Amino acid sequence: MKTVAYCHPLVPSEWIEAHGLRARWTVPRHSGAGAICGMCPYAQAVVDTLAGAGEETIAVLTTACDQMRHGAGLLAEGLGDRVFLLNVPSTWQSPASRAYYTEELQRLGRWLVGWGGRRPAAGQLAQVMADHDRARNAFRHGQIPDEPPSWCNPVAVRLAAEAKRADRGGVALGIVGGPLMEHDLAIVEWINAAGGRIVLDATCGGYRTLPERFDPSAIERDALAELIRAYFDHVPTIHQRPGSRLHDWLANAIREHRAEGLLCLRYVWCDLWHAEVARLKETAGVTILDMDLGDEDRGGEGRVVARLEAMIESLRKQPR
Amino acid sequence: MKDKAAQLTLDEWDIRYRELCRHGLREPDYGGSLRRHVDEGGDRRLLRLRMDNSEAALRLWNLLLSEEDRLHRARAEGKYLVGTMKDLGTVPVMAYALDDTVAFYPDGAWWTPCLMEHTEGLLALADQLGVDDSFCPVRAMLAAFVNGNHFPIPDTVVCSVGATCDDMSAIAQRLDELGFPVFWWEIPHRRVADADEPSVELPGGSRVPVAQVDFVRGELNRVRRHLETGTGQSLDDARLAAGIRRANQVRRLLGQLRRFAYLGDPSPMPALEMMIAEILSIHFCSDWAETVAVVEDLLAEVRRRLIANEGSRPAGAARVYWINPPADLRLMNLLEEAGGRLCGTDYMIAHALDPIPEDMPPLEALARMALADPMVGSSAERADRIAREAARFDAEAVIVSRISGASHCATEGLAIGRIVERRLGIPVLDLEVPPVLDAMEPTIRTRLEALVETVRSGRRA
Ligand code: SF4
Ligand code: SF4
Repeated sequence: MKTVAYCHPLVPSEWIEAHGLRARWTVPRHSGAGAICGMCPYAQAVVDTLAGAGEETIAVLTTACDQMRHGAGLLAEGLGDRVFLLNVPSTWQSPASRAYYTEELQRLGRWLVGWGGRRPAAGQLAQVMADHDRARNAFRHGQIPDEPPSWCNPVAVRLAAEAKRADRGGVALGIVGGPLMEHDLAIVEWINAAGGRIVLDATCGGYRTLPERFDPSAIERDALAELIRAYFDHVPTIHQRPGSRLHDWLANAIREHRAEGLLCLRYVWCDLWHAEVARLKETAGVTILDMDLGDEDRGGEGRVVARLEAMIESLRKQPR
Repeated sequence: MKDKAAQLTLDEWDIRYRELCRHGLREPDYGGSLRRHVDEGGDRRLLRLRMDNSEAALRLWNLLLSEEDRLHRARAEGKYLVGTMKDLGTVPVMAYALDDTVAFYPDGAWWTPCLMEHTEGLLALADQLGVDDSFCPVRAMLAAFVNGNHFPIPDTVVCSVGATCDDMSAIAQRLDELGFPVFWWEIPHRRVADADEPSVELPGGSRVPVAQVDFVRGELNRVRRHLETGTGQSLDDARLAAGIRRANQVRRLLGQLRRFAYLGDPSPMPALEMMIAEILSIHFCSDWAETVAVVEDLLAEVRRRLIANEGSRPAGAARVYWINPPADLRLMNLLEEAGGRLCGTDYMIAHALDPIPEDMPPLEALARMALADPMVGSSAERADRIAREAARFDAEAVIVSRISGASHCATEGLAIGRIVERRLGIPVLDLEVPPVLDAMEPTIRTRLEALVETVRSGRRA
């Protein structure tokens, strides 16, 4: 059975699995080949990782950002048809964009069938949706899955586990930004050592980008339409225009989780996150620490820790 | 007064201008000496450029450098100003089909830090606004909106997103947040049709699924309604068709100009003037009628020079195909000083040079044109078109002018370089320059000379 690797929250794992294939949010690593100057380290790691994946892996990348769009082109030079580029519209307020996303999922379905998947039989999509919904809901409520799930970035699940394990109280922080890579888990320890704790994971592929809960009666009526509602109408991402959905979501989540500060972890050369930092400072309502890190810096330098300590220290001094 | 083709410094142009005036030079209302753009407009880069000595080039430069005045005048006259962003050539065709409506690209502030040699402080202000040099020079546009010292703030801002660069998507979003509401429309990544999927041919030759054209047509219809609401006019098909005919008039003239200029040897029009002429295609520098007149003049001058076998540089220069606009205009001079010349270009506006189909409903034609944008497809597709055109114009080398901070530049140079080298077997030079390249000039010069030498030794072999 083919494994379908993906790394964007608007690629519904349910849709892949309903076609009888295995979905997996890819956790990328650099190949060790030199960094491409100007390329987002995450996008490059995805390209490096998938380029080295075996024949059993096929990949779905998206047009959500230009870096990944062009990354897909680079990848296709080697993998050819094993790469599928899903058009995820940036605009979300017009019915036409929604319809376009629907058509794109149908096109993805045909591609999956071409790679050995089968058209979902009656009830199959509904079943996968119900299963994922249950598991996601448990995760939302603090239950850590035993196995890395197919429906989000597994690093986000490990982060949740680590954060729970390491929680010794302290200043409540949220983290926001692009998708986490394996070595980013060090952030839990640093925050903890500096006297803080993570109460909100708003990185891409984590809690923020989980789809809305499915409505069972809507699933029964039209499962695909319900899938699209839960994803397209609700997942707030950095590429959407206008970008208000993301800011509204964050402001709510910060209140709900009582985060006192927000750590923006963004990859160097990621314009989308970079430009939004200024707005985040206006909308989040809490102190923001902006970490512009190249991949090589993400493994853990004293510089990062020192900045974290300074932030937590100053938050501690603020009246609560 | 016709003189042999030459490239002049600004001092030399002062003398030339006085001579032209003595001989009865007739100019449009935006005419005048080029010097005034330095003295009054602060366009100090002109002091470092060499400009073509023809009357046609004088008119071209004056049209370009008087655009801000023209926009302010339009504002004072109560015209409706449309700031159109990123689509490079689509929305202006619609806007100019309306009465008393002027469309322009605030993105054009891209070149302001170069032209004013940073004295205007736009990039420093962009830094303060949180948009630093990890973005491409289009960040100058954000600062120009905020300080209001350049173009007038448009009545509406219309921006295409989807398959666009992250730089523009991010900066336009920032603009929206700073109180300049943006009307967003979507242009999806152009894809190849599946085997059993109906497809259509686009201007420029690629094919796309009919479904993508339908979608973009719908998006352009939203733009149409938005413009109608803003102007209080109806933008019906007849008007749009007339707008398309006007755009095509410019495109056909430019097509002829490019063919003559890029095939003629010696090169009958320098790289810098050709680049500016090509860029007129996207929004007619806010004056369609003058754009037509300027390009007609250039074409007449090029014809005259071809017949006289005349150019400002000797025949036999290395024939270079150029990709992407350079952040510093001076780079085009350096190419020629190193012994090269242009023989074809892709300044990311190929779709604004191809004639728009006139034998179909106008929105359908515009949708096809928008989808033909080289930047909305894959780098491989862009490289394919470049390779075809470079072969047609007998290119001996390709320069990919890398734009610092641009989200597409990290990888497209690699992809284009590989494909062009494989298909044409000619050298590809990847060159990145800042908005003012002076500090790097010796290095750049050496690299350009080395490229020209490679071409020459290839000819000898
Ligand atoms: S981190 Fe930014 S640039 Fe990188 S893949 Fe994500 S959105 Fe794109
Ligand atoms: S130069 Fe490139 S990155 Fe910059 S605005 Fe133009 S297309 Fe976008």
